[in-house]
Amino acid sequence: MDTDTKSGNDNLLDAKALSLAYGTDIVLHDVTLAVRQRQLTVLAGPNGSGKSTLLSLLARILKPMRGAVLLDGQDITTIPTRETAKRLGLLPQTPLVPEGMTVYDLVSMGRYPHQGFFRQWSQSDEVAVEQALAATSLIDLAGRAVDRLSGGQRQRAFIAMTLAQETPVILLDEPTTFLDLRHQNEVMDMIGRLTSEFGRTVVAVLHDLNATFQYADRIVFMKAGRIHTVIDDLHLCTEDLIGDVFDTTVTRFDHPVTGRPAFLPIPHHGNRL
Amino acid sequence: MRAAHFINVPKVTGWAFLLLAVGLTFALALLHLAVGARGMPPSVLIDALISFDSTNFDHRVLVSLRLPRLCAALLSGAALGMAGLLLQSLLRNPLAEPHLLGLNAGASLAVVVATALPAAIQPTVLERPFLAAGGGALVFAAVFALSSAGRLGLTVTKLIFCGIALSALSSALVSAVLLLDQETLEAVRFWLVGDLAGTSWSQVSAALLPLCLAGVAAAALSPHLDAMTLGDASAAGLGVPLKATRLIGLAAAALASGAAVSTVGPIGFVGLIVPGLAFRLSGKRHLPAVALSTLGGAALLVLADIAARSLLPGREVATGIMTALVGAPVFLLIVARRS
Repeated sequence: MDTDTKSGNDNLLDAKALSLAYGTDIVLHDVTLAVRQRQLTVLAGPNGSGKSTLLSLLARILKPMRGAVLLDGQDITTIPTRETAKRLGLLPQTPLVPEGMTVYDLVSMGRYPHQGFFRQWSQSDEVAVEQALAATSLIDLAGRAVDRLSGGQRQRAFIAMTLAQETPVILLDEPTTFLDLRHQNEVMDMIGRLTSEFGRTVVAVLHDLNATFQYADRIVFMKAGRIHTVIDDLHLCTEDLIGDVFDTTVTRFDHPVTGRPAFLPIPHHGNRL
Repeated sequence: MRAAHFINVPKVTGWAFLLLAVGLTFALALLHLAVGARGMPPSVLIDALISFDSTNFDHRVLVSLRLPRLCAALLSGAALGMAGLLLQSLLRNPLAEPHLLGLNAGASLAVVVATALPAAIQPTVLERPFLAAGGGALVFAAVFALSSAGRLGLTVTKLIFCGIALSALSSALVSAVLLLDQETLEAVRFWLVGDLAGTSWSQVSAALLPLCLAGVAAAALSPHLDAMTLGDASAAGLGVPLKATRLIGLAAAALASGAAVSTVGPIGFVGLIVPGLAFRLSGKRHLPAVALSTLGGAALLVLADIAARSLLPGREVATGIMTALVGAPVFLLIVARRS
């Protein structure tokens, strides 16, 4: 099990001793994490472990009580919000879908931080939108209303929006929740390509442990507002570790196709077939 | 990758409707000038506008009575349409409207209190819209604070209820001031029901500056408001300054409704009917929607004023009553469709 040994300068995104509390309720306690470039880092852990809170802090949606988030070595709260949005994209858990908005218009929204009062829609905006649509295989659906798409297509459209934003770092908050198996696979494949094909640095909160193990480069396990363990070599992840993080019992086997570990729960009251 | 030609969706519809709205407003404005106790043929109208003759009685009626009234209706309607659009987008609620959220009542209270002040410290005509805006903003701030309190946080129902409750409170305070001060009552009684009769050029010109300020703010905020349709988290991720947008947007809404209230009194429902429609017709883009809602508000209030002056032969109904007659059913319709 690996602890962070890399120096802060090599990282685009750095969490330094973050703490956050609501009243007396401490939701995040002294969390330090250096996000590695061009990797898919997954924040995992039980409900209420603070993983979504950590993501919100990284995305500057929340402000830490103590500590700081550094983007390119600079405290993120001191960077103008539009400037931040050119370097850091966010797909929130439940974005609103305006009725009737087309896929093209949604993806165009990703260009917002690159535009200004005197810098209107340009060639480079159009190219970015088209590339994002092509990358997510949405060109044929560009004129369709987003609220008419399937869950997976809709999520792909939002990923296309963050792609069009052309930020080196992309944060995803539970992008596969509410999706069925096929759409979940489709979206996870897309997320995998964000790092491998498009060279983005991705941090995602994921609930599905097995999907996490099949796609992640690095897993940050969180529990009770702290980082429990950071795993870089996924093969080193043991049944005991997962059992401890989630307070349950699991069994490990290796995926016959990918060779990556997978974990199944051990039922307490189940019967053998 | 060149695919723009077949994936680009036409974006001209909003501007086409805008052109249509300009034509409609212009036609209604001409009709507004022609209608009245003294009928005027179009020829007189054109004559008075092109070559004004101060000895001609018709010309003088047109320029000193009907034209300021028309301009008051245009400006105030425009302001209410703009304020309504801003409020609906900022609060993400089709029921958000200056009248229902207490902005109009607060503005009225400020104007009435100012009118009751001794002459020496009374605000000038030019200051009145800003004072009204301040009153509206204060009452709205109270509405917002009250409806955000509690465990559930801000809900639509609470917002509307608090708006209605604090509007009633402001109206009660207005009544109290008027009961104690006969002179003020005489000065404001027609104004208070939204009567456009007797609006002067000075009132109209005083409303121009705050309306322009609000308009510039609304146009500048349009891209932010577009991004905010995706929700606060997405908008923040795209780099929208949420707090500043809300603050400036609400201030602009207060300024616009203050301009309207100080000119024509608390007129309701214009900001409810027009913005929702304008937003739809503009392809849900805020820049054309702001323009369309502003024009639509102007057209609607001019139409309401034409109706107010011609529905009962020989008599006039207050324009605010006309907008309420149309607006109240629309309000109920929106509520019914939402639930």
